[in-house]
Amino acid sequence: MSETTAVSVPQEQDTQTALTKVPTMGVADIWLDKERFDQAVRVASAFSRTDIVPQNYQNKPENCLIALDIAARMGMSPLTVMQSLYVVKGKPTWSGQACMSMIQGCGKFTDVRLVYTGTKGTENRGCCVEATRISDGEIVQGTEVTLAMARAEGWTSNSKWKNMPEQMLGYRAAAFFARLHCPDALMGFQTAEEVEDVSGGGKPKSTAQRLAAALKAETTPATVPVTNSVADALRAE
Amino acid sequence: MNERDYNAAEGVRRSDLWKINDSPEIFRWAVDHPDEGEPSPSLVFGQAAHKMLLEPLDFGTEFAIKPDGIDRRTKEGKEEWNKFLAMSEGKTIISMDDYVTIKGMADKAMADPMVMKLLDGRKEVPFFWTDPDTGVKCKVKLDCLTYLDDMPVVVDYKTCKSAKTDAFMRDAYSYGYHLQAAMYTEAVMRTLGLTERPMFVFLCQEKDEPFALNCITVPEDTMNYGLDTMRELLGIYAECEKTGNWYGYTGATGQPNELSLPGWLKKKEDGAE
Repeated sequence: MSETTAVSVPQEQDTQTALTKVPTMGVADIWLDKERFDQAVRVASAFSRTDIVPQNYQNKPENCLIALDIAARMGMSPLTVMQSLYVVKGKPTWSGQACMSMIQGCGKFTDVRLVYTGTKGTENRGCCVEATRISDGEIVQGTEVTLAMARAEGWTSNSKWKNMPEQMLGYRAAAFFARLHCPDALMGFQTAEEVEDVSGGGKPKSTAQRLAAALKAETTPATVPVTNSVADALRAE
Repeated sequence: MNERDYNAAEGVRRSDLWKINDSPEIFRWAVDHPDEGEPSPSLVFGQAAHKMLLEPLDFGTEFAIKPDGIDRRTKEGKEEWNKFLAMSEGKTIISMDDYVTIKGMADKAMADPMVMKLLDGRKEVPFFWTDPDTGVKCKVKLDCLTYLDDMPVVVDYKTCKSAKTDAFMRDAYSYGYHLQAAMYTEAVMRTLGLTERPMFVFLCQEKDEPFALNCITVPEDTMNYGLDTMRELLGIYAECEKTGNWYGYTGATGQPNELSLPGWLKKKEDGAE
């Protein structure tokens, strides 16, 4: 029997508990204090039973428990964490969007913004995150990400770089900034885009799978088979 | 570019290079005697099938179908036959049976949505390039170069006895198809300046009814083996060209060979001891 089914608490009471108790929950206490751990398990169980949480968390109180811990550590709402934390290629990853809000919410920076450079639609199009550091008022910049860099690094095999390059530049720029200036904000996790780019965005690995995907994406050509007419003409000669 | 111009153009072909795999002597003889011997019936069949599928509008200008029922022993028959020969001058003659088969094969292929997509590109495209490592001039003619979802795909049509993947795979290495995949994709990369190797696909079709089709891609390890083979054979070619020594089975320095036991027999022999 899994841990999922071993947790048994009255549902209505527990959901109520989840809504009221989460914001006051301690951080390391969840793991060290038996009472608090039991409480966290109940809360996690309650979250797992709602269909408001993303599918990765539904009926998975263990996943919810991890999300609660992260939320408590980062001072975020558990639901925000659940909506921003994906499992990509077996790794927990932050969404690109969440990465930007983590920079904004980590308390070290103000006036966090995306700065786009170069010409839109060309290889020199780039983006970096710029922010004002609260401690000394200095304006700091993250590494600039360009489409040429994305191509050279092989990230563009992830089709999102073709379909929404501006968005991807922004997400990548946010991840670069966070890695450089506030690595603790990401708690060591990668962003979904970082994992997808390296693994080709879920691109099928074998050549046969790649061809099948390309054939599927391609609409049927308008070529008309002409063998019949030619063959018939030859026969008539 | 027509067949004659392509043949006359400078460059080593894949089929030439594969002969070096036998021996440089075999290769040299074939190059020096291009018109020796009639093309084999299976070669003619393959050429006609290619023409019918890839360039059906040119089929009639290059091939003539031998009419059935001409009795050349009679005067009328002789006249009819001579008339046919006069009309077919410069064309390759194929039998009515082969024509019916080839037409059936092409009809089956063109009714297949996958084949339609694979062949929706430029047909019979010649490519010429100079190998940067050896300086050897090379040439290939692709059956079809197409783009699927922005991915360049080189398609090669093969008529075969069995298009079943296992059976095709067994023959592929003895015919040098791995070399073909490497050389053809190299041609596209070098000529078009691509940084990624295009996909290579064999479109295989059986010569007997129901003219079964198969689509077989070339994965990375096979492609790498093909590239190694290409590098080795181009290297041998360049060396032979430099030294003028087009050696045979005994090698460049004339060494005897041994009749050693093949792997499977050696295994059996070792097991018996």
